[in-house]
Amino acid sequence: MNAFLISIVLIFIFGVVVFCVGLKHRLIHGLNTHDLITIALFCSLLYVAGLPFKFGLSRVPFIHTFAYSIPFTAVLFIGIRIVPKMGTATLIILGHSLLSQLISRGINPLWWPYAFLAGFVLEMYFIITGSYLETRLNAVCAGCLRGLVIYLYFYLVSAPYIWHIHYAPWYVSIQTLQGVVGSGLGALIGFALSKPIIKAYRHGGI
Amino acid sequence: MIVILDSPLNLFLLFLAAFACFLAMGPPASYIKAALKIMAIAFLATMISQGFFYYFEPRTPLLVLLNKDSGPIGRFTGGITLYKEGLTYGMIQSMRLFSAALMSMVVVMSTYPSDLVLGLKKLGVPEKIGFMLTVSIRFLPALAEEAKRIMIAQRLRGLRLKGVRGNFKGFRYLIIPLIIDSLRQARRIALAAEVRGYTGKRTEIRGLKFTRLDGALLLAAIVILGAAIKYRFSL
Amino acid sequence: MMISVDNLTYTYPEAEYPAIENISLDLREGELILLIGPTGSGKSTFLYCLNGLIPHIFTGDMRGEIRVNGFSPKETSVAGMAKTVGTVFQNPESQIFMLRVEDDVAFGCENLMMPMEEVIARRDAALRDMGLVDMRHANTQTLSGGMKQRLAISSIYAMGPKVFLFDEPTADLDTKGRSEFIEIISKLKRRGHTILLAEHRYEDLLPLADRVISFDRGQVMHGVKAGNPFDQEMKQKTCDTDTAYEVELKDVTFSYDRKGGRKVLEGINIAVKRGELVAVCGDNGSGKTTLLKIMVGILRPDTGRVRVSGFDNPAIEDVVGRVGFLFQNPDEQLFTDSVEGELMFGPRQLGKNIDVEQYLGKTNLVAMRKRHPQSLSRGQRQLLAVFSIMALEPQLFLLDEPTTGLDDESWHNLFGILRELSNNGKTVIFTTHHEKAKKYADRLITIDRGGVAGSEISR
Repeated sequence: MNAFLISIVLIFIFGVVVFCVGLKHRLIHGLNTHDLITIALFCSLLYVAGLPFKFGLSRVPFIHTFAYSIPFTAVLFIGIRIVPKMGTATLIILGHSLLSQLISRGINPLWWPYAFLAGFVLEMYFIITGSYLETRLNAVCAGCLRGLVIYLYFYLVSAPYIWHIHYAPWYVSIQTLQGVVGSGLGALIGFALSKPIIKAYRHGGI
Repeated sequence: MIVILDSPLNLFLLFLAAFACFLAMGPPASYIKAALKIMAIAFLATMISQGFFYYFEPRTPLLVLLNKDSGPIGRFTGGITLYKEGLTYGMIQSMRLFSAALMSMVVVMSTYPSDLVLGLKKLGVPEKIGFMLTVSIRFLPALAEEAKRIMIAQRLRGLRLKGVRGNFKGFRYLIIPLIIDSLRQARRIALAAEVRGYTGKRTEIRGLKFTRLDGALLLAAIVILGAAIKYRFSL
Repeated sequence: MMISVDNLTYTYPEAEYPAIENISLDLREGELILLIGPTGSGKSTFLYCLNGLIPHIFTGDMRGEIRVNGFSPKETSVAGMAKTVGTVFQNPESQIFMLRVEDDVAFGCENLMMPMEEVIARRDAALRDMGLVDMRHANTQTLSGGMKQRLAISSIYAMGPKVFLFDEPTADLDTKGRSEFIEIISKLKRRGHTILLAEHRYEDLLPLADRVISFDRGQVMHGVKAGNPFDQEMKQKTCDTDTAYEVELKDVTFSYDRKGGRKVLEGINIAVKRGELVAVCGDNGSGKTTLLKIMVGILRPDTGRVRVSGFDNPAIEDVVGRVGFLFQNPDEQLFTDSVEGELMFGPRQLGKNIDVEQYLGKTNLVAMRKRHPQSLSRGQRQLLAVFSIMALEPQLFLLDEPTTGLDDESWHNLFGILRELSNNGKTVIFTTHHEKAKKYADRLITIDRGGVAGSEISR
């Protein structure tokens, strides 16, 4: 058995655990139609926010990680603050992944565990801390945690087993560090930007 | 794991075949150019990175950038050396990657998005996620157009973006009105869905059927794969 | 009685006053009822009480009794009411879910869990009755505004409701779309459906209406409003022959696809004098928006010469500050954090100083100067967008369909502002498809299928 297959099983178990813990804490309120559609539009927004990074702009492999994780995390966290319920994070990330696959990259189920992991990590963090990005600290930690887990998984599991491309440990640590800092920064930016958006929402301009 | 095609030449032929299929889909010239650019960059990057990161044996060093004992960076990285086998390995893996990627792009380019979503549902993806995907796909072009319009409107008000700081500013000025407008749109869409009786469950009149053509293609694919494996093992 | 309403009062959550108060009405089957009244008078709220959106989606305090075809919206879910009551909203874009026309028509029936054969039968019947059979396989994103609204209506029609509710359905449509809509309404009426239609502009609908109910501040008024109080004459002017030209287009052609695509504009020769107020008219797709974009430098013409404000074939950066451009959707142009910030943004970028107080006063937003622009009402946002461009003090002001989604009072305000600008020597050009807007201009330029079809003094 190789690491990839093991990781799939582990992620699945993780998901089940998250679900059960969520049930126990009565956090699963269910997402109504309005929430689902908001999430769907956020998947598209995430795709649009990432477009400048796909063609030309920051394709320099070295700092690409840093440059891409900032807008991604920012928009993702704005979405979570707008629909602060369990399942939002997972659905936005998964939806965006499937959307990119459907539109350009081609459907590849091998990448789905990666997306699930990204979602489950955030869900678990929200359950444990009891807050859906209500404070800046919460957001920064969530962002850094996400960056850490995702980039480690990518460089240690996804890339070697799906692409058969290996990276030296020092390179992995530099990229992961970029991911952590970038995601943390994106989290702060997203948090700051979400304030006027939520204010406008509340005053009924929407 | 069984690896069937191993030599650079074979993989290059496979890549050409996949690229031909890609071109047969008739993508616009800008798309082809972008794809070629990305592939060229990825090819070089993979070759070089795998050249440096190759850790299987045997390996022959071609160029030593940094010795493992020279200074803190050397010790941290364990030495940076370019290996010949690594370069070849990088080439091979890129070819493999591109062939697979191009073929999956062909699938996506030749099929209507709603049919792709239907296919996903047949694979077991739940209805609500399928609906979400349909909405995302449906509204993506409109969102992209709106983003363009917002940026032009800002330029017309005198907004000038320079350098890294400009990127951050530009992002902030773009994303807030874009998201607020999307939220307004989301509320309207949700009302329209409610009024069309959306509850999460529905009878799907458009079905995907497994026809004889599908069966024949599947059979052909299995036969070719079997023959290739046999060929590989008889070498 | 198809619809009976008894003492209906509803207050939105966190609102101080009820949106509608003590409404009692009886409406017969097969009637076409026109609901008129200014924005905020309660027309939409009333409609939402009939289809179940109130109280199920919009919580809040609902009192009184309603029965629609025997059902009570309070007790039946929205999906349950959907079998009897169909609702069509203003924005066609947000009512289309699928990528193929025929899939969208079937969407409603699918949601009602009808058996497959019934869904297919209803879908085909709706395509036929609504005249969409030729386009059944078309991509929904390629449809015109009028067609999109027709699709939205078809998808509701297929569900087979007895009652149709329309909430400002033609506000976003051009003249052609509107006349197509009136045809559909007539057809529905002939088939015996009960129709409630809330609209701002209703003169051409009066012949079809069996009853007119007027709303004002949440209450039903009796008696029809005679005409429109804002239908006043605006003094027009003609320019002297030796005033300079602000905008000149000579032999301009343009197409989006350089390699032999359809020419959006061909052989355009236009000259606009300084200080003129010009309306560029034409249906959607005639090329009038493209024309405006060429004037401001967003698009470059394939051939021909463009001279704007002294610049030849300008790019955006050349004309910033001299030319102001208002896009159709004002919400896409409000991006700062406060009303006063929005007004000051443009001038600040250009290094100019303006008297913010003066502009705040003109927009009537002094009290809300610190509020976030996106939290204002629709009409206020439109006004703010217009003024934030005016704060740049441009010599030429271009507006693309500035009347979209505005009620009569806001129309009058807007054109008053434009008239004042023109009297002060600024040039104003706006595109419109509304007949009524034309009479506010000094001159009309009509664009039809990419060519100038007429340039006449407005009567």
